[in-house]
Amino acid sequence: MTLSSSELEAALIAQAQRGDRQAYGELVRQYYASVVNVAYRLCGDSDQAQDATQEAFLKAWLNLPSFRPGTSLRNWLYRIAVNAALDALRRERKTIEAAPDDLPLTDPANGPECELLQRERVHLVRGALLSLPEASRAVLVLREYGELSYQEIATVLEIPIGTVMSRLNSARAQLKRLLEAQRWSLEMEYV
Amino acid sequence: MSEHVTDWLNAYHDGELRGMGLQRVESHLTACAECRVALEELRALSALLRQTPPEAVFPSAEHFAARLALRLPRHAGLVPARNVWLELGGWLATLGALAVWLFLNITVWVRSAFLLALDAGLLANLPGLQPLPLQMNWVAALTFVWGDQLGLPGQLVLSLLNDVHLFVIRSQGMLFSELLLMLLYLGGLALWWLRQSKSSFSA
Repeated sequence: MTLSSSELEAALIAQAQRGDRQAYGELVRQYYASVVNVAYRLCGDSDQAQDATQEAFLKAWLNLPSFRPGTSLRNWLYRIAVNAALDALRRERKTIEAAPDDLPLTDPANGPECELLQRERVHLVRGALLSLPEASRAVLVLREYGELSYQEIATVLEIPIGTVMSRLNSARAQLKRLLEAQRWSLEMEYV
Repeated sequence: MSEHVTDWLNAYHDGELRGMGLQRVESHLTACAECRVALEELRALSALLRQTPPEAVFPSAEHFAARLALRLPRHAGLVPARNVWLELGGWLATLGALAVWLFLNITVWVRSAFLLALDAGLLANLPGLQPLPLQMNWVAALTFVWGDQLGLPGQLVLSLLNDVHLFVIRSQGMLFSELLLMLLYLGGLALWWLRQSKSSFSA
């Protein structure tokens, strides 16, 4: 008999709760990419994001016995990671640095102009995101990068669903204004 | 044309609208070019955010998991032993409250039926079943000794005290049971809360 992915995850969680490091390693591998992405979009700094991600997974391990089976591990990890990322931000404010020149953002075959444009866009998006207030940014990041529903965001951030909606509206409106101010034409790029 | 649906466009774009709200936004969008443009802008913004890669390169999941494994504390990750007494106590308190509630209700109904039958004279011939006395012994004694000297106000006060005593006698069993029921209920609630607070975690 084969186990479904949710049953497999439940079995891994149960094993990890009993202290099985290998099972926990499996869970870490499964959720690392999404957790580090959310942390990075919140912090805007790769070092801070990696530190916050590591702290989140360590904290999760320590508190895994109190994790309630049947609830979403992903959302629980997001909650810990968001708190860790916001703590990291408050501890250490960093200025936005330019992207390293050797970072492969696009296929070099597309040409230097395309690569330059992509680099500019990446930098612009990161800057615009970081200029949002932390509370709005957390909601927007969980929606766009965490792909959580409004109800899930409300649970993760422990705020009412009405607040999720208003913060999301204001975050997107502000982001749009910022990008427009930078003469960034969304239509031209993505149509 | 109906009022713009700007406030609901985000929820619509995120697939969070249902029923009437969804219908209202959809029907408005078919008629309003301005809101359609606003929706397209929202879609473009989401696409831009999601398709923009991070400005950094992260270690692979495998590498991260291996590095994390070295840092995991040795003794963490053990499920705490279940507190059998706590769980048993919670169940017993709940069952006890239910049993007391049942007992109380049955007793009240049976007692009411008997009192009704007594008042109607149906049980007059049964030995040992007499209505409760209407005057307490200490009131009777006081009336016998000082009845003439008490006057009307004194007799009224005495009669009032007699009624209060009668009420207490008749209701004390009920009050005690109600109190016990309340304590059991609150006890069960406290144990449940204790269990929940032990098993929940807010990071």
